Amino acid sequence: MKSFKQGPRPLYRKKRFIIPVSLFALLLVARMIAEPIILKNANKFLATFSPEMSFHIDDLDFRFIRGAYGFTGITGKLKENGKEFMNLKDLDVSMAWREIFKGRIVADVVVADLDFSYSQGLKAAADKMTNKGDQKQAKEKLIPFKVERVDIKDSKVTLNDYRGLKEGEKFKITDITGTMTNLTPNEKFPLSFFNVHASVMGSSNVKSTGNLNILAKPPKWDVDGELLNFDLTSANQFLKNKVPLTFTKGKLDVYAEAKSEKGKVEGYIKPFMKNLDIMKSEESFKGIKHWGIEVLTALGNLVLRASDTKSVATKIPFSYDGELKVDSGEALSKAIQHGFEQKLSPGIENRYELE
Amino acid sequence: MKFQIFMFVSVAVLSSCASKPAKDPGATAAGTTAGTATQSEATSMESKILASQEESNLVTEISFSKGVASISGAAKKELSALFTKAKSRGTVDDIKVITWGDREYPSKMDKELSEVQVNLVEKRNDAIKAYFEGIDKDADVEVFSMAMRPGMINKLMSGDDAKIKKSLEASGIPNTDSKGKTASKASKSIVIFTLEQ
Repeated sequence: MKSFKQGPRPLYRKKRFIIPVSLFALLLVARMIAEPIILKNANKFLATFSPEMSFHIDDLDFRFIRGAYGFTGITGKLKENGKEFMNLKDLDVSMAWREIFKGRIVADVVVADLDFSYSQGLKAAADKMTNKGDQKQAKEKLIPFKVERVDIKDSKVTLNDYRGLKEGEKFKITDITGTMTNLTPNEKFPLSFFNVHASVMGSSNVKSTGNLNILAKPPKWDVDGELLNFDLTSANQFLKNKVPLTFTKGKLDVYAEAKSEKGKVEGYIKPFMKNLDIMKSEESFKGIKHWGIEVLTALGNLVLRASDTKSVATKIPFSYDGELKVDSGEALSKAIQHGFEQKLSPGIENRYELE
Repeated sequence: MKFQIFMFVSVAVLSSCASKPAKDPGATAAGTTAGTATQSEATSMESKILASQEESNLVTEISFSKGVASISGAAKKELSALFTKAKSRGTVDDIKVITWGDREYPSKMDKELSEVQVNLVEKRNDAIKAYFEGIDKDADVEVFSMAMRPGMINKLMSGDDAKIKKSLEASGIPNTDSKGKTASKASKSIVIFTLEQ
């Protein structure tokens, strides 16, 4: 009788080979099948969810190793005129692994290379979108998880308010980088944090940071902001549409702080203008305020020419409790103080902060 | 909007009637303003942004005298007040201390400041660490030296050292090759408290 001695099983028949390979194959097939189906469904929804605007996603990509997926090439258009107002290169949604150890399944979102164009047309369309449920559904469609953190990278916003402005003359905020964290707060750790920095009109930097308590009723927040070295001449095209004055030269620094508690807002703005030269434009005047600006501009230039530093600064405290109140008395007093007695100190004063 | 611009121009014009020479530009208006500061007035936006990225708003900046590694009395008071505030809000998870020498952060070309500066930063960090451990022996103090750029491995692993330095650079701190877009950070320390979540 012949005896058959059984040799070692080949690797491809071993569990340690079969399981990972099967899993990999399954993921590959799921990816091949699921991606186009999900993408098609999402695009169908995003094209029809609002009568005012529509969105389209070029591609969906599962990023299995990180436990993530990403949408690439998201565009948003106004239905009324077909104008594109948003172009987002990449939206990455990933599992927040650090939160898993705390027993929470939440997501981190990275918005990379967003080009957003704001216009009155967009504002009107957004105002018409009264059904907040649709907006929520659109968010749920793309990100069906609670979001714990949002990162914004290399993004830009253009103010497309006025026709006829050339590309270089439009008001632009570029290189926007920011973070929002702890967006799913709890009683023990109630504050969410946000910060952003960007370049304004390519010449100056704006930075802002703040805290938000969304668990409080009404929500509480504080914010600090700083704009440095803003070239006032770069705002001329924008200003011409608002008031009859332009700047022939001048730099602006602005520091601001505000806080909201129990539905009331209080804060201040501290503008500093250096090497200033104001010029009236030849636009037609629209009432007494424009006439006032005309007179004050002429007077201002006269005085500024006599001044050594050509710098003006003030601190404008404000509050909002149903209506905006500006403490113009203090603004005036600080401005005079800056000129005659003691220079105002540039920078945030760190007076408003959530506890 | 138009009214606000009108108001500002009015104020600007009136204020520019200055004929008297300006006093010290560094003088603060704090003394003439009602209310008290909730944080150190020296805490810059870069420090606040860094703290925000670390999920905290418990941050301060202290200054050292040139060549000196010991903490001044005012700075100790500042640190102690912040520690008390942090403890009143929850359990302190860790304290991050980011310290400069008497020169700015080294540029990509420089990579590291002189040995004297590197040692000075180390001593300053040690002094702050010892101070906190004096207050609370269990304090978890992490120190970072702004006298050197992050190492390759830390960069590749996205370690805290690389993350913090990248964040500060992105917010515009000056380095040894460029003036940067913000005020000098030489001879300073940023101290951030993070709370247990």
